[in-house]
Amino acid sequence: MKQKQSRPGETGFSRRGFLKGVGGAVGAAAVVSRVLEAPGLARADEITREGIRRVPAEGLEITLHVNGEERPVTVRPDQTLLEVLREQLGLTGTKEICDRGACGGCTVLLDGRSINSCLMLAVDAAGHEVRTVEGLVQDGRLDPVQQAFVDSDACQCGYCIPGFVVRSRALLDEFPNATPQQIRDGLAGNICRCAAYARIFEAVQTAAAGGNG
Amino acid sequence: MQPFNYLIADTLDAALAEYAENRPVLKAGGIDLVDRMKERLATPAVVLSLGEVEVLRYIEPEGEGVRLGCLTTLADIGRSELLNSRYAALAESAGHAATPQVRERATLGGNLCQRPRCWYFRAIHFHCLKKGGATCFAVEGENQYHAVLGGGPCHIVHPSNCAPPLVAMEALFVVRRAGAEERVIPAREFFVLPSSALDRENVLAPGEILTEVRIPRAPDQSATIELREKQSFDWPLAMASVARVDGRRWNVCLGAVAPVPWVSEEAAEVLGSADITPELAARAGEAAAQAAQPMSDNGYKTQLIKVAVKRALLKAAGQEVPA
Amino acid sequence: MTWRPDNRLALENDGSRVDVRDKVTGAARYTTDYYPEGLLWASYIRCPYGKAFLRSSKLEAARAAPGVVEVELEKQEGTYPGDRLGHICAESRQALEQGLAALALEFERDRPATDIEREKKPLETFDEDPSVQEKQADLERIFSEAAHTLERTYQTQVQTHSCLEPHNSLVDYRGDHATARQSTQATFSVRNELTEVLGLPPDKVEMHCEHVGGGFGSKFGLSPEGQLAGKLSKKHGRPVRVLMNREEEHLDNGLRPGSLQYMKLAIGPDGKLLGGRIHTWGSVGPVGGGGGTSNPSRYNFGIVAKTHQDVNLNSGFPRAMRAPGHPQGMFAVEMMMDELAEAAGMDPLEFRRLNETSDVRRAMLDVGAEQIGWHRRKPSGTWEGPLKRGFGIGVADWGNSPGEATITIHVYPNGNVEVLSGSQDIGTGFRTLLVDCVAHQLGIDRARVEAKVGVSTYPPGPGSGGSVTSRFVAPKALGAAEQARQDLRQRVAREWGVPADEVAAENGVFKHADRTMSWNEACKLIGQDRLTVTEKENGIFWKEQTGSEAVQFVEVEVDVETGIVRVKKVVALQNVGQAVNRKTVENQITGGVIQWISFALFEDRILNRQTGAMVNPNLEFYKIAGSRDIPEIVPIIWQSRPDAGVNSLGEPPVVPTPGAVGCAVANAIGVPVRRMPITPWRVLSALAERDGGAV
Repeated sequence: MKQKQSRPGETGFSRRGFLKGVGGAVGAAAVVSRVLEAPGLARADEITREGIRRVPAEGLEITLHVNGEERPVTVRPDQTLLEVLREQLGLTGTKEICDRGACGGCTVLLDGRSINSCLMLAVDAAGHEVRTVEGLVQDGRLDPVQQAFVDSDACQCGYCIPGFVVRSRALLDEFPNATPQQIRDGLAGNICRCAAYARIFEAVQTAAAGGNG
Repeated sequence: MQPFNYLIADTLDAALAEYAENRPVLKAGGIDLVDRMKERLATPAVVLSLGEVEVLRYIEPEGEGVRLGCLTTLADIGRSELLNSRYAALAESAGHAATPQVRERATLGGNLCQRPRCWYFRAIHFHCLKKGGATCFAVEGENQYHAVLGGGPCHIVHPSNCAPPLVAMEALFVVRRAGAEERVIPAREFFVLPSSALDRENVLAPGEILTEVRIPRAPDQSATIELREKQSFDWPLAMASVARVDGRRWNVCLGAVAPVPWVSEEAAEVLGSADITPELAARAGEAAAQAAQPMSDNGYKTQLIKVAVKRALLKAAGQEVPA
Repeated sequence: MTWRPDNRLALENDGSRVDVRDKVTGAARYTTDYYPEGLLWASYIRCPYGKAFLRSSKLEAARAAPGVVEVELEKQEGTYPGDRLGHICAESRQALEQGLAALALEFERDRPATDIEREKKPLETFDEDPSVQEKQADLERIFSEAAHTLERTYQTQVQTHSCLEPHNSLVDYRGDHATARQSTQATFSVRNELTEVLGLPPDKVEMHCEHVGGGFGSKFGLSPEGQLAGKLSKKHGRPVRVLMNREEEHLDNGLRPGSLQYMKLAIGPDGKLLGGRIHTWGSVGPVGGGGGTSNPSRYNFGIVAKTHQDVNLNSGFPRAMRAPGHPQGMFAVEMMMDELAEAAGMDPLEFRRLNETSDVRRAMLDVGAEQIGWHRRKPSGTWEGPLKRGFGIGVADWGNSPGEATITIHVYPNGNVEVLSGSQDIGTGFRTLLVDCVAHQLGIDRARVEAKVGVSTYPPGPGSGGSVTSRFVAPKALGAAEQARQDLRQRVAREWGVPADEVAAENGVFKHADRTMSWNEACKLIGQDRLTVTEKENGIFWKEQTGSEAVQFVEVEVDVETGIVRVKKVVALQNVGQAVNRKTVENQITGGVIQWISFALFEDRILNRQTGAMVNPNLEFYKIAGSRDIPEIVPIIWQSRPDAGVNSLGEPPVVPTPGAVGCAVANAIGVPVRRMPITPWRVLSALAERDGGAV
């Protein structure tokens, strides 16, 4: 569910106040201001317009809702959700593989839908519910999809598997009784280089058949 | 990515005003832009996000047609019962574009306005014609995925797979600009060839935002065929969308074979408003491929055009075609 | 012998791999997943072109960029795309990227050598070779006596490993010791090379690779990533990470070389191969070699004069890739076998049986033919309609010799068992193999056994290459467990005051007359902290090996109007000697089949001929088979002899696939596509050529 109060740019951080607080980002600001002073272009921090929120290049503290928790993080606009999940929130289950939306390794749930976190800016995730592979485990109990992957030995090296698991969760939420064809179509955005597909299909099919709620 | 300032618009009016006045780079789902920023092909100082303008996300029947907001995702389109039942050519195309994950974020507007996927354009170390260089590397280089129609001096293929069905269905693109009346552009006039503009692929003027796609009248029949090397995530080698609107003549639009969604007048000529027979469909396919001018490695696309058109017509006519 | 479904499980073990839970929850941490305090990021500065000279760079601007720690350029000339000209190191990944951009490299380009056909020496050059000359008389005789002689050339493309965990290294040098993490398939070779870079003895460098996201042959040795991370960590006294991005992964982290394979072979009136002339060219890096192909191979070819040339191109360097030289060699071999069979008017299956060198494979051919329904195969090109079915066969085998490894097991008084090996699990199921061997031999539940692997302080073991890990290690794991079992048996006997050889120890229970003792009770008798056994000999658990024979049957459907190929079904028979774990074995067989369907149909490292830059260094246009490209696969674990030991599995299942796919396509469409990948472009071209046109 949307959390309107935590949308980026609404928390009233001033650029200078922000800079004071976060020393590490000062350098980046210097680079940006040069670019911003290009002729004919207003400096971003001078823009004030009703209906426009601003996230300065140096970043802003926002709250991300990840795996049911509120996680305050300072993010720059150029940081992807993937980068922030891994580097700042320590959620390294989500993997960077192609970094261009072609492999599905970085798949997370955004308000229940599966998306590529490598192509999503972290600031855009504010106000949305993010769930990663770690967050599918509830009270130490595996999600039925995870359990099915375990039972079917649905992996080899395992690097792609968090992406497959999360995508499969979304797939089964949409098609609880997914057919073999729906499973194949639904996993077409994930790549497993070891090619454990036979096992993966079996796992998702088992979860679909066995009440995967 | 080069650091940038990020503006998030909450209303369309604010976005239009900001866009017209300060010329930030526009972002919807970000699928294409973030990719280009990672490749450093785009290093904008300011990016304006339309993503939160929820009012631009809708699929609304109107009269005998339908209106789609430009922020409608490809997944929305693929899931829409209305579109699947009456605008099959579009629903199938959007519903099979890219990957399931990409479709959740990719928007209709972004799909229509994305930059080409040409492998020379997409790599910073090819200073190609489209990026202000002197050479289209496809001419003497690896061109198996490049244009066989309408190419020159640049030989990209248009990457949108929503565009061909929309062109075939005689859609209208609604364009807004701050302080101006909305501009309504027929889909087939929206895209421009490299021979008239190298730095863009459509007619949008500075400050203009594509806000809506209107299909004034549901087609009597429509279908799309996409032919891919790989059946999982892959770009089509060739595609054909066909539609017959209001009992009038057939429209045939090709994708992935020309720098724009390519309207085949030759095929339309052959078809007229006739009912489809296998023989007629095959003749239309031959006609569509007639003007093809392949380069060294993409001659096979000529054959694919013939098949895609033939099968799209047969499919639109309710006949079974190889999947 | 006849294959029966119920003889597959020597160890009757059907458990999932032991680390699967960690992998599906994200708990398994790979090298990429560690972000230590004070981490520095480093990367190479690369030339994107095939042959280019660095004309200018803004070195000072890059050094002055915020967060950049150092930038060094060591050379100006790039001789392959991705060539390393220098390096950059920064406080963060973002600073690293900004620093690289600030460097603003500009190159003067030269025309690169990208095409093996253009750069190779002509065939005639090699006819002068003494090895050919000495067989000249035989060849002349063979060709004059032949019932049929065919002359064909086949071509295979460059394949990149495309490990999903990129090559990456994290070295933390702390003066008198260092800890390293690297995504590797050879823990000890990384540790050893690192000692040289760091100037530390082996006991002061601890290397970790508990989880590895694939290697496929490209992750041996310290490699450029470890070299740089080690050097900079020593220099700065901080942890340093070198992490390849996807483009670097394609350019400079190994590849399977491309090949051109010329074959002129003769068969006698009975259909037996008489021999002939074979020459192969392999495309390799700008210097050095490594482009060999295993052609001829497997069949009884008669007298063959074989020569080979490595053709140096402005291309990345080959690295061993899952059966180096074999899948591409067997593509040409199997295609030629089918073309020869066609010439002789023989069924390809019969033709293979006739020229087969292995009785094991001959039996596998019969079973495979039955399983795929070979009788459904029609003469080439005779299917009606645009969708045509075709069938093909591919074969392989693998040598199985013993090798060194050491295994330690600890049995704790609470009954839990640890088995330790420094070797690594790159996704093959090595952990699982250890657990299953030990649990089996001790007769206890596998849940009681934990495998600890991939740390250099654990006992030494092999790198994951040459398909050796299972066969080197399994005898020692079984032997160590057996020693522990005997030790406990003696303790129980002492406790009961009976002779040890009168105590039975089966299924983890100790028995004498009417007395029994459970595993847990017996383990309480362990006097010290734990019972530790180390085994480095093969002992009685090394059993005579078989040849890891593989036979695959492939059924395809080809749309001759579009040239699109779909593999419908694969029957993959694989002799693994003694199968330790059914699931991991089947998983690896089917995975190998899919990976090499992907090679046969899609994958292609494409260099731009003008600049030498790679046009598809991504996972968008470097196309890897996905979920919608996967056929039905029937893995059949073959056991040719009941007393066989644990055999090789990593490589043999990938060898037959491309050839079988190629043969099936040719059978479907009635004309061979002699060049991989078999894309619509190539299929339509082959059809057009046959019909006298061109596409």
